[in-house]
Amino acid sequence: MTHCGRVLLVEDDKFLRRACEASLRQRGFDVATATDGEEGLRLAKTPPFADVVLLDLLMPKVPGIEVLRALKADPATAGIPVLILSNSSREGDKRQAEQLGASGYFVKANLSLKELAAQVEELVKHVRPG
Amino acid sequence: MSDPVDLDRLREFSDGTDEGLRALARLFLADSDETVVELAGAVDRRAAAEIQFLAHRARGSVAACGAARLAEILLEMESLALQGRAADAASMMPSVERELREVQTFVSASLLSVG
Repeated sequence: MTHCGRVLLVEDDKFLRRACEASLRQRGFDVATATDGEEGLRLAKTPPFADVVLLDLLMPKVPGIEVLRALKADPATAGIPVLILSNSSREGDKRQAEQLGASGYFVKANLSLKELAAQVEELVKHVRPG
Repeated sequence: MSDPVDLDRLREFSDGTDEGLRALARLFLADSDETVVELAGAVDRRAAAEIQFLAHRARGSVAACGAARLAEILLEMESLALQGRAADAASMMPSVERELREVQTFVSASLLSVG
């Protein structure tokens, strides 16, 4: 399978993590996974950096919103696009994620693995033009 | 009563192909017990914060799969736990387990029907 970008998936739910990981791998992405915010932040800040981070919000140890804040505050990782995966469809939560620099927001109840992969691919194209 | 899983939603969650649906269904059947076992442990301990967290986590994956009734039960459990009503939240555990069995049975049957 063609290597088409590096994705870091930070999600504590095993089923969703494995479903997203399998779908992205099938499409040729190189996927690293973390099961809590602390591990996610550590992996995100460790080179080689991911091209895209997929981030759950409510997670053990460090909440996703704090992971997002920390990534955007660090010049080394501020440019990495972050897509949020959340149970919440509240406008306030979406707005907060966008204000902190998230590139997209997926509500799990409406999640489509196909659409998720398409958006990841689009973001990777911007990060790795050509 | 409606089906425990909206199969159209499950297809929408997957890549839309029968193979994608089968792969997702297999993963769900393999993993769906795990969080509920953890949830049952938190319920036994009447640990409200843990019940809230685990009910929330389980809700995300079952909602993604189109198991709306189970997602609703978990949302109620999560809300009760958030209010510190651990005993009330705990009283919902049999409903969670019963509905999960329904969902798993339906997903297994769907898996057979797509070959």
